[in-house]
Amino acid sequence: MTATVYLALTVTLGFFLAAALHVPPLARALGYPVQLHLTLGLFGAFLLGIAAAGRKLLAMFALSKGTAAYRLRILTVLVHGAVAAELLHAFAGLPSHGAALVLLAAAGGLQLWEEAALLRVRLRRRLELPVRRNLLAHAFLPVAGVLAAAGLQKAAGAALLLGFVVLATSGMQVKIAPFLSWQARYAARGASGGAPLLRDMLLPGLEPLTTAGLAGGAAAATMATVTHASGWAVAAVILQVAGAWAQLAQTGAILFGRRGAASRPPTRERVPRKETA
Amino acid sequence: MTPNVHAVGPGVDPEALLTALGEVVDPELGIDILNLGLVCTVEVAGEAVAVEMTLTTPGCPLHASIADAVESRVARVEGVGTVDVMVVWDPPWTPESTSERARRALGFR
Repeated sequence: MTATVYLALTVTLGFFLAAALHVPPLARALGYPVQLHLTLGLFGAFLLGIAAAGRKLLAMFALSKGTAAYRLRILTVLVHGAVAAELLHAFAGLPSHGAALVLLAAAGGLQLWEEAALLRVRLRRRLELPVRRNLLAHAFLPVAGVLAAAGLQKAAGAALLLGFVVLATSGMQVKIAPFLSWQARYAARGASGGAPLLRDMLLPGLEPLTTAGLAGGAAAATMATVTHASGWAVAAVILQVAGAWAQLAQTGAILFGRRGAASRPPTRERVPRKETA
Repeated sequence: MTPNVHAVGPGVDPEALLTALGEVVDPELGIDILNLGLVCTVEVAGEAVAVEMTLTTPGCPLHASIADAVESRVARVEGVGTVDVMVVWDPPWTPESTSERARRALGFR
């Protein structure tokens, strides 16, 4: 819910920032608070959204049991604090931008801690590739932190947006879409047999391509922003496009693919039962 | 978790009920709900069957689909008139409820 509010604020502020480029009185009144915009979007909308949804989804897909919720609550407070600090910096002229960065770094650290805690108590040892892509996304959080600390704000933004946000959301999208598609297409058949398993709705060969493309593309784009070398930029475009098309093809397979009950569940073990009459 | 089957009176074969329940597969995990240990109790009173079950995760998006599948499968067992499926969270599902085969298939720790 909080992430959704921040998303609406991000879009609204983005609209005003775009309008300010063409309306001088608005530009004078608003300034150009791009740091506030990035904090609202990348952390308020995306980090909070990924953290909150991930706590449920990763726990569901990894069968993680028994992690505390306090980290998510603290993370939310830290992001609120960072947004407040950026607001004071943008509109009251206070030197609070550094404090906002510290709060955001702490929020990122808490998210890493939360993911590690969920993994530590998971029951499923083998995680599927889309889930691993979601986890790989978190490697870009410390990278962005180091870049931001070094004053490379654009590179930090690239690592956060293309690395963390894109990988995290694309991984979970490939896990969630089959649930929705299955319910719409196969729920009735599931009751009478012959419905595919969720994993049968995926084209497995596309997942490594998506992960390599999107992760490699995010790394190359970050490097391009740091080095200003065109080679990295070209590599970033090629890899990102390949990853994006693989993701699109996977989504199409999930939504429109025709799959039978390819995977057979293991034969039912004889389950001892108690019976009273 | 071993499902407790309480059968009162003739008419419904408990073994047929278990066979029907074993045909309901969790489409995410690919394991039937008996091996997963999701069925807590089965109460049979005449033609009425009440199934109390749980799911691996509260808020599982397949909640309704799996409950519908259980109802549909059990309703087809000979002698069954009405079926009541209740999903409960207490006691919560634990990995100890699953069969050894399911644990191996899921790669449990």
